[in-house]
Amino acid sequence: MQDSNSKNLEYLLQTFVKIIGERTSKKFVIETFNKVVEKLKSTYNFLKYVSIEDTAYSDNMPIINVEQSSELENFNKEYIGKAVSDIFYNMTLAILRDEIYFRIDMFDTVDDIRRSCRLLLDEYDVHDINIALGIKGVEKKRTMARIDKKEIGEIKKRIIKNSEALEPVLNVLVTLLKRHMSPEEAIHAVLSKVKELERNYSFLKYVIVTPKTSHGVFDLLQVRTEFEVDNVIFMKSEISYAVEATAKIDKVLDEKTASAIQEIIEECAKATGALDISRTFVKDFKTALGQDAVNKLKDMGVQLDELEGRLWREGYEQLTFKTLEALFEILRRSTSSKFAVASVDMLIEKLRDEYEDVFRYVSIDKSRYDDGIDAITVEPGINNLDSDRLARAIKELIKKIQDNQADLSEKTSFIERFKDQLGERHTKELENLGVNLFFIDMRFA
Amino acid sequence: MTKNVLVVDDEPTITLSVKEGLEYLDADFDVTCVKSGEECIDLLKNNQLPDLILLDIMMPGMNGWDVAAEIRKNPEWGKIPIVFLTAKTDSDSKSFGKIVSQDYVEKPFELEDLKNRIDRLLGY
Repeated sequence: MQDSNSKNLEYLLQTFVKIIGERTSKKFVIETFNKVVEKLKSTYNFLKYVSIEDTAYSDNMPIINVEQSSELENFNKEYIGKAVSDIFYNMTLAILRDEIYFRIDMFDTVDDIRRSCRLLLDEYDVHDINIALGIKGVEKKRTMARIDKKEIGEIKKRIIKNSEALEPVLNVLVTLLKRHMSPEEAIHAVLSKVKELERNYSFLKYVIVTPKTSHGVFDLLQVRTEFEVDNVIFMKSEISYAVEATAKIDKVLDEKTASAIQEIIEECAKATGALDISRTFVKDFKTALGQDAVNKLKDMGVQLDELEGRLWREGYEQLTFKTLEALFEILRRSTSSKFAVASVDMLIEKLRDEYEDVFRYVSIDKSRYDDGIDAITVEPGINNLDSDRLARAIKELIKKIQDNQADLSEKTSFIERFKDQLGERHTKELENLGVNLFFIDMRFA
Repeated sequence: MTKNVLVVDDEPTITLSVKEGLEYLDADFDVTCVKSGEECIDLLKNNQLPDLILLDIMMPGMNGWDVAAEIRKNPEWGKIPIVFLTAKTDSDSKSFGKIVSQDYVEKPFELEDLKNRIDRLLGY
């Protein structure tokens, strides 16, 4: 290879443009190439000699011109090779960020480029061209460039279309919610969440309801009565319906879809409002979806384990606050908002020595007594506590207020008042935590 | 030793009878009377801190609950014992008042009994 730098650079860049252009479009490759070269000019001044020329006939690829100059010829090959790597890297980045072309197989693209100009790439020390394979912004794809071909093949096999990932997710969510509500409510809940999330993920508008298709994944979902979710109308019918994520979703980036899926799962987990259900929801979801599909979701970037842990932990914070809120409300109704919060504050102060590990996460801002319940904050750190310890602290707090009741009839009716105020759902959660309200009540029976 | 007691009640008959009664029963009592929650807070803000506060609940303007909460949130006033003056039928006042106050006295009350309760709270 004794050609000049300008000729060699021209050949390398022409190869990139041709191979990438064949996989995308002439328009795309010209625009991208111009942008990339413009961006890199500040780093590699010699790129001022490089230009791309549109061809007259639409089927032909554009032509790269590298103007001959003594300046360019004087640069060492490694430096030029670095520029070549950067150009390829940035063009790959543009492809992977594009809504239409992001699924282009960059492994094959690199193979083609290597086949076309292996010697030149070696001569210009362009050994890190594979870096381009690892730039999809997600760590798993970053590692692809470093792992061997066999592993890459395995991972590629697991990559699925967004619609193929979304459909079973929605159907499984409906199935899980049907355990706790009617089928109509379950479908309504899932689709409502999807509609709510449309604000952040506009592509979710492509989630529609269509008649059941023949393949089994839709067997999970059945609608029997008529109801409406925004513009989606479900007609009363004996025919099963399916939630279908249309192919348009496939053009959305994996990360966006993964993020949307994760939020839909989270919202559905909270849909019943019951702590014990939301805590085990992700585990049940994974079981219902199946390991293979779960792996595919994980590969897309859906962080199911993180979500599972978070939903589990969020419970204590919420339950503690709900308990304090119920006590506050009982006190407030008989006294005043300010007095109620002062009372909760004083009761907690009395227990703080014994349950410092619990009540360190409950803060009551004295300067905000006027704000009532808003003066009370339960910090997320409480979620890491041992359940038994939290249950004991809450039990003592309830007992303290009960003990303060003026007479026996007030004492015996207090727990009923507390349960009424707390609500059936949170009362059950409190008892599941280990706060046996019946035993507290029986002290005065 | 002088026992400074602040009576907060909008009924002059109550404040007068408490002042005269306690000072008659024990010469060490020095009873100050105010007729509203706002006056009570003003007095405390002026650093006139009593040894104990007798606090009526149902008062126009700032009620006894809010006065008690205001007192408890201030670290300097927080340790002043509060005795609520409650109506006999008001069970909530008795039940919940005790969380923040040291005691409650049902109206109408015996002055001797009131004096004994105050003495006990003040450690006599």
